[in-house]
Amino acid sequence: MIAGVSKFAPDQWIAWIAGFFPAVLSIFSLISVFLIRDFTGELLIKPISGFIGFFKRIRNGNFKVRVEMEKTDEFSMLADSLNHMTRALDERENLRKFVSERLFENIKKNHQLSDSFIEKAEMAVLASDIRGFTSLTEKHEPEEIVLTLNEYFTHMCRAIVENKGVIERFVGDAVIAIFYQDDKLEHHSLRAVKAAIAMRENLKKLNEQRKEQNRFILENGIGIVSDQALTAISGSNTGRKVFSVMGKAVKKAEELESLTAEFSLSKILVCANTASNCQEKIRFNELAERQTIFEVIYETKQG
Amino acid sequence: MDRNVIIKRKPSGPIIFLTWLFLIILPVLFLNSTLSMMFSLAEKSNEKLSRNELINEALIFKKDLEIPEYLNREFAAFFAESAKKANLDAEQAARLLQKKTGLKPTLVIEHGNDTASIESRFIDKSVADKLGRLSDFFTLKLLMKINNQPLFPALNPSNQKKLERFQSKAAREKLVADADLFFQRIFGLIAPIPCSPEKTMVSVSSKLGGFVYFYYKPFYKITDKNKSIKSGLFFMIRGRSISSTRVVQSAIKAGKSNLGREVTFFDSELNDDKTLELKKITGFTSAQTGLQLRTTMPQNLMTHIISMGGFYPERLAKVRKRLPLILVTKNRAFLIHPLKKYQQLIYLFEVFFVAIGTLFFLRAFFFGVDLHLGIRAKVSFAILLTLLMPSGLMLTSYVSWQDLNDRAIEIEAENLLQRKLEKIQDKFNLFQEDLQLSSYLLSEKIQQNLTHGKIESLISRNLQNSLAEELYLDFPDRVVSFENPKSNFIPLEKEEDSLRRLFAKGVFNSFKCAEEYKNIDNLEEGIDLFEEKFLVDSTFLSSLIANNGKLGSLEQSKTRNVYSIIPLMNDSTGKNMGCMMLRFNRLEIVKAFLKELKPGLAPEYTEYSFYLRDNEDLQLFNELKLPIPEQRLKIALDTNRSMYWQKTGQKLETFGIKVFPKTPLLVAARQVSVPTEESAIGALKFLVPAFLFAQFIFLAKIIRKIYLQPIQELALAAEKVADQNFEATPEIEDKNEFGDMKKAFDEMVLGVAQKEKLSQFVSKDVIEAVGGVDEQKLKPGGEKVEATILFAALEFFDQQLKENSSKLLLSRLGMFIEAGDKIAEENAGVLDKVIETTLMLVFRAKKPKDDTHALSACRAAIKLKDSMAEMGIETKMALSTGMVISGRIGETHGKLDYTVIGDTVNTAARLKNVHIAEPQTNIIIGPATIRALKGAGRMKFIKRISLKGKSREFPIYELIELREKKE
Repeated sequence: MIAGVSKFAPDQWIAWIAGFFPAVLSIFSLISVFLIRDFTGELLIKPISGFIGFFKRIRNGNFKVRVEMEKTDEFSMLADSLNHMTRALDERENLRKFVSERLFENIKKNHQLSDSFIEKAEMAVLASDIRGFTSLTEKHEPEEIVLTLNEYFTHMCRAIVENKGVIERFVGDAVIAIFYQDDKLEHHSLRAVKAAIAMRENLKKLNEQRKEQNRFILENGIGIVSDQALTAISGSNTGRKVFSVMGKAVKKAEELESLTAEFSLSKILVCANTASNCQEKIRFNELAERQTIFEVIYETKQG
Repeated sequence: MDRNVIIKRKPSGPIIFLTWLFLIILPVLFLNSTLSMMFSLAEKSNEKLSRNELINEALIFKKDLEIPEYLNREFAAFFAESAKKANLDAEQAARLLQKKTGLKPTLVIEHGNDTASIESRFIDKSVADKLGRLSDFFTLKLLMKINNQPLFPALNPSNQKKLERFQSKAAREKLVADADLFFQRIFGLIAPIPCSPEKTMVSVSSKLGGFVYFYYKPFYKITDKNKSIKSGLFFMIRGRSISSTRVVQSAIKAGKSNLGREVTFFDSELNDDKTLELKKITGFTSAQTGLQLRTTMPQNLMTHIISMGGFYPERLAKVRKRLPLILVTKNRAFLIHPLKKYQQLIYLFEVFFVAIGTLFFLRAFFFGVDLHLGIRAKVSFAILLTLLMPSGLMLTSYVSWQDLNDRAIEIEAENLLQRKLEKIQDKFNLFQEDLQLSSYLLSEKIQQNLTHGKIESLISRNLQNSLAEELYLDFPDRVVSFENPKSNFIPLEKEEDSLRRLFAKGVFNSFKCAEEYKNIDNLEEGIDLFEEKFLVDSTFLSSLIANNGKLGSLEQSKTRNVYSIIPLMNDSTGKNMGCMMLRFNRLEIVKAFLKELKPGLAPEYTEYSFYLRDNEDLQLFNELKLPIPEQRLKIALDTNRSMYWQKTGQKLETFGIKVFPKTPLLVAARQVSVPTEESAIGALKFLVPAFLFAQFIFLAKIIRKIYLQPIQELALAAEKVADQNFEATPEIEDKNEFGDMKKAFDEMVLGVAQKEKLSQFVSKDVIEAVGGVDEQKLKPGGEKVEATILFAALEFFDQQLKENSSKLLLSRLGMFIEAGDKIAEENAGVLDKVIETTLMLVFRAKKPKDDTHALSACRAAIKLKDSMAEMGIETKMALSTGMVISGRIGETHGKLDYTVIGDTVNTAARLKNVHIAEPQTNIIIGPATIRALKGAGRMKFIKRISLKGKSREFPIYELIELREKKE
């Protein structure tokens, strides 16, 4: 007799596998799709998101940021270009320090700013100078002189900028600032006078510090003239250009400033125009010696 | 401090690990497990398909193990070797036989021409006494009976007359009966010697103890017309002289080449030692060498071994460890999957794949995934990476599905066939039961009428309506038989008749203890099956019980007769009175069955042709004729499976219906077309790559549109900006991240344009300082250097400003600045600043104690003067030389001026304002500058002046011209 019992049933086994196989495959491929997405994302999406982050920081005014990536493809070429551009932006920020803020605003407003730009505007010109600076340069080391000047300018400029003035230029120890007319702000003359007073106050504080440090003290004078003046750009089309305020106002302000050495106690002299513009807010005293020149009278904070 | 944006294409560790796992490792494991699954599946389904083959082989093996078969083989081989054996005398033949085959004949008789005389005789001495004298006369009669001598013309004319005596049938019968009787007596045989030449005959001898085997080999002389008997050798071999080991060895050798035969014993795995129970006697096992079938030895060999004193099976369970079994093995090579031979190659590829993949991901882990490829190539790479997974999965599933599909189809087809077979088998079983029922009803009638003794008419009436050929009634004291005149009656051979009687006796005897059979469940416990009274044929009895209601055949061989055997019982006493047997022709039964089956045959069978299997031959039963080569049909039948021919794409479906529990008798077959490979699955081979390629193109197009284009636009615009084209803007209209990028980019371009504009308003030194990477250069600071300062002013500009249009004046100033800038640069100086209409030019000493700056300054002054004069513009200048502080001056974090300061500057500024009465060049020069000129200039003294802040008076000169050295 031949008999045998087989526990193996291939048809059941195949049926089971056939049912099981697609489910396993689907789960498997689903996970794989997510993983491959991550992986190819590294290759294709990561540079994009990197650039987006880069642009975000640029827009926040961080021009020091650079894109760093391996030089392999168009992305790295783009990154190079962007880095160049960012450097240009960084340079622009630095260049702004060397030119009048007014110029930059004009360029910003109108990037097609023509070479023959002329603007006639009401303004107050503030001129300030350090007394006897020439002799100081001879007496002291250049490092000390530069340090002193930088301290001084830092204090002066702060006062000007706080009163919405624009640094027109530095000429040696002198600083020329302009207060343009702006309807949104206080009267430009008043702002100039306030800035002058603040400058004097700041100088006083600076000198107190310097005394403590046993360094020489500084004295300055300020002249303010309110007038109509030209703001213009001149220069070659391709080469060097100049943006400056032209007209008598600047010269007059410098003259007033040089007069402060002799005539003024407060060391701030203004023209008649300025004085009348600020009559309600500031007390003035017309100089006895020179008519139409007014001295600003103010009380120091200490009294 | 803000750090830079670092774009490093480097996925995080876990992502790399998971991607590696899912893209490299898991697919490989997946592939491996799929392959091994496929391999084992293929092996197992091949095993399943091979089982019938093994069963067949086991049956043949069993048959080969039977001693008559063994002797047939041995004698056939012995006589095939040489024709010279015709001339051997009995003693030589006996010696030679023993030498060649190891068989030790007890008796050899050689006879001469036309079986007329006995030439020689060999009798083993140890049995000679037992046998007594062998009558030549009867011996020759027996041999004549065996070789059918009367049918052959006499070789020797003198013998012709002798033979003629036996021409009549009656004489022949007398001869046979005499010979039978004589030999039965001489050898103590229980039955006459069954007769046919060249075929081993078996009988049981009481004198010699146990089985005796006879073999007769005639030698013929064949002429053109006649075939005559020249001589012959008659052998008798005692069963106990046959070595079982040789029988087994011979049977093993007789096997097919692709199937292994072995004799084995139970191994331990089949025994449960704790319960001492046999798990299974026969069964399939999968071994290292292949698929194996283990089963028991044929019963008569077992009996033989027992009678040889091998062991006595008191209880099968007790001796099972010593029970020899046969083992058939199908070589493993026939079971494996076709891909299996490429397994090593696949493994190699996998190792390569894993190595490359792992290297790639390790690189990704340490150095990122960046490649030195353009963005297009990267996109392609990314898409390929994305498609790698689905394509791999598609390929894997394609391969496995195709394989699974093939297997499933094969198994399904087999199951279908099996179901079809079962239906027919069931019907046939019903048909048999009907037959058996009618026999039983007849037996009941006979039983009732037996005591009245009027059964003849009853039986002949019933027989005429029956399929049976003959009816036998065996009683303890007599045997009665009735022929069915309506049937194709063929008288029963003597041999089978004696066997039939034995069975009837066995049935009669066995039912002596019918009481004991009442409780069949306790059969094994209650009855000792090895008691003498049951030894007649226990297999028959057990099959009678097991196949209750079925027809039985008397022996294992395929005879034409089957029997319905019913014991006759006395109703009142319950005692066995006799045995009724109905003899049927097996073929007739099947024919009758088919006749009944055919009209009601389900449509699914109509395509099949039915064959009847008569011994080894096949006969077509119905009219349908299939163009099936008979050989293939036989193979299909033997292996009991569907056959498939690749060439014609045709498949032969066969199933054999086991009409009786032996080999298939009724065979149904049909030929079906198998769909060739160019089906849907074949088309997939092209569709899958085409689909993937299309996917690739599609993805590439989309990515190009939404991804590559904006980037290219950005890169293009950036290139333009680098070429100072500040109008450039990337043409992106998207509102997504690229739109944001465009906005930011435009702002940056604006900023760069502003920078370009602004840089026009500052000196070269400033631009250099600003452009440098050194942040320190932009902090306030300074150094002392020697320099010459040149102040140059437009004369009367203020007055002109009033009078003329400011635009004209500004353009003049512009020309002045342009000339000043250009000339300063030519003479190694710098246009430091413009104070309204005054230019301040600085000429720094490039190294200490270098005076050339003064000369450069004077040269610049004269050149500027001249170039302005050409345009009719009056200028006034002043020069001063000395130490200055050069540096960046201004607020710490705000406005700055890169300039020089000091007394020298102030002096120059003041000298510029000195009025000269009658100016020639209007260039005022101080003593320090003159010294530095070292006599290179011609000067005119103007006057001594006192300057503000200076203690001493100061002589001033007007620079007239320069005495240039030849250079």
